[in-house]
Amino acid sequence: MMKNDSSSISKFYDANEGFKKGNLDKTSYRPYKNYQEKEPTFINPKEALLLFIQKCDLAITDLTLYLDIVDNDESVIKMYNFYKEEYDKAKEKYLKEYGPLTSCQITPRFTWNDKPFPWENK
Amino acid sequence: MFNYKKYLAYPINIKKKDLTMAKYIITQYGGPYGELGAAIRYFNQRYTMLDEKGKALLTDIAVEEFGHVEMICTMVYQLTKGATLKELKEVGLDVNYAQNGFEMTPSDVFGNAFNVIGMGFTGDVLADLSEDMAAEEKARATYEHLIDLATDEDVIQPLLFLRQRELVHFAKFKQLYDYYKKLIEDNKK
Repeated sequence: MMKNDSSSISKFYDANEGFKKGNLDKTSYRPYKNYQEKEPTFINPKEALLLFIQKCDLAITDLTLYLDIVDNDESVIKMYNFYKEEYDKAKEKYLKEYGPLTSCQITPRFTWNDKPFPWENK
Repeated sequence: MFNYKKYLAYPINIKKKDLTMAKYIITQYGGPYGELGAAIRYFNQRYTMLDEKGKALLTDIAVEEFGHVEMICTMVYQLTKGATLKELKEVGLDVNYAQNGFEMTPSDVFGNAFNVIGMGFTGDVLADLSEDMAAEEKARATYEHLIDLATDEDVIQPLLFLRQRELVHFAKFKQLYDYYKKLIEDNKK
């Protein structure tokens, strides 16, 4: 994951820390009482890859919200592009190994209706 | 338009049935400070934003809120999965069964159906964005109540995540509010 080292991106946690906290934006992050956020667990490589995708997704979401208002911040655009590339690569890998995560992905056979749907317990 | 992503914004895997907690959490589906209301509020307000920044922000937050609706429904679904009629009766969810079977409905914690009465649609960006900031704070407060009531880490962690999203959104609406306020004042000069 990318290191926060330049001025503007120092406002953000990286995708790992941000996902655990539920918020990449350091200025608005506020913990609740003494509750500790825990790193979500995974039991196999499939879940680990999905978790990585979820982390990239939140990073893209938070950087997009920032750029919606401040659209000329070069260092944040760079950080956004970094996570977007990681996200696309991971989604491609997931498609090849386990199946599609969006209905627009090309698959040799139709597997969109394969389990699991996200609301089902593991 | 929309394109579904076949994963949750944050993983939810609740192993322990808890009908009482489900009864509380349903309010974030169809209650006054719930995720469905948030999604519809911003989705509806985006058409009267002053410029592309506002249109982009309200669109993006509205879409994210629909993902949170899915998280809330997932929690209720997993907390009630496999419940017997006797268990439903014990917590008063038998009335839901009578009308809707095992399907959930968007309602508040008292069973009142989801509605848009009192939602802030004013066509005035400063009024709308003030409403949005208040909505995020009220949702944050509700999540804190739910966290206080929860005992299972599998429930607490996703609630902490959702609470934190309210803080980000509040900050973004505030930023847009300040920017629009200045824009409006500068135009008056």
